[in-house]
Amino acid sequence: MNFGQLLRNFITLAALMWIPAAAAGGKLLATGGVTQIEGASGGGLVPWALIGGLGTEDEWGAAVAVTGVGLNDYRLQTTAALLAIQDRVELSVARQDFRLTGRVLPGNRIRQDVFGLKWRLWGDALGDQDKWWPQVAVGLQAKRNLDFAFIPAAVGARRGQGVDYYVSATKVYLGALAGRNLLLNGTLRATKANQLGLLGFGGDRSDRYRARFEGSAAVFLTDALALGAEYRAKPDNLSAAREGAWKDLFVAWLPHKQLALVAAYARLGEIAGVRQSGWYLSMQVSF
Amino acid sequence: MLTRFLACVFLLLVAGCASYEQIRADKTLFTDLGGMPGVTALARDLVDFSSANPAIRRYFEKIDRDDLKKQLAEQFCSLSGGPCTYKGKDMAKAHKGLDLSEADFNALVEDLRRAFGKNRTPVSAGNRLLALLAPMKREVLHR
Repeated sequence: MNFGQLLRNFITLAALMWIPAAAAGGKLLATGGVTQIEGASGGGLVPWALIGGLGTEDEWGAAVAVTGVGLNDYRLQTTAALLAIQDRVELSVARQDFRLTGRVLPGNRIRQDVFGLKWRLWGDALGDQDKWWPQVAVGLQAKRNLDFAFIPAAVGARRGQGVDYYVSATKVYLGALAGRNLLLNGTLRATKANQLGLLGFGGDRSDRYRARFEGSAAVFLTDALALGAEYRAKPDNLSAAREGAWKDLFVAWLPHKQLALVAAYARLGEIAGVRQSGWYLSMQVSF
Repeated sequence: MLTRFLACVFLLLVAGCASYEQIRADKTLFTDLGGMPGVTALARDLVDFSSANPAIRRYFEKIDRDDLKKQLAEQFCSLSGGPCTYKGKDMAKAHKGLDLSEADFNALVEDLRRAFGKNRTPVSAGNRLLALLAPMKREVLHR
């Protein structure tokens, strides 16, 4: 993937918006979140307890998104779609395409499919302003690495498929920070994945499920513009390819209820022995 | 890094949890909304926008809109710590028989945000008023 290709995908996605606005559901701006790197609704890196799309409790919703991450030695593109049923259940599918463009095995790629299911248990992140509890959802992400045999197997990953399980708690505090709206999310994920699963699952250092914390905080400067940060701890299963936590600082802009644009600076720790940082761009169209 | 992040999230949570009570006890909100002329203008524009909004205008066709504007202004004034007492029906009774959906409620919130925009209501005052109105969703839906 290069920048031009990402741009073409963005334009294709933007064209989708000409589907009549009547197709848009009745949710409030930004309350479906954006699409995270594995296709669930959330921030950039972390799934949130929100159900994606614009459907309310008696409507269906949907969202499609394209995300590009440009790092020192790699490029990652995720193309994702999700279907939301009555603000209760979210089904998502994502294809990740990880290109090795720099110092490590240039010219190779690793692809992965992620099938996600999320179930909102209780709570209304925005509506429950007089309650202390957040909106809570549980979810899973079933992942299938399509290029396991070459690089992931070589660095010692045990298998090419795995399932992550998570619980997320999200709450919006209206007017809480100097009168601005504040969104907080905490996610606990049980996973064996190496670098999301792009380097397979399990390894020589550990082949057991590990619970890892992921968090997001965002401040809405206006209803349509948010600044935030994310943190995602990960397991470290492979001695041949150590990994660390992912972090980003993002700005999300929703010029229209159906359109979200996210730009971020990401620091993704070591990937296959080399520290990585770079840009992150994402575009989402919601219905 | 993780410890610092967790500490930060914890502090934000504590600050956030306190916010609804703080906003409710905040007597400056009424002033920030522009006092009586401010809340009267917001109520007027909200009813005008919603009466013209294809998604929800049907709810406004057969009612006395001037009376609704008056009651809403009184409610905004009372909620925001102004010198008024809301004398209208409680929220559940006032919406009985309408069977409002969540999308209807959200359409009203969007119209209120448009009213904030038209009246140049400070972002912070608008958010604090919405924080006080948001829990009413549970009381007014599906009646």
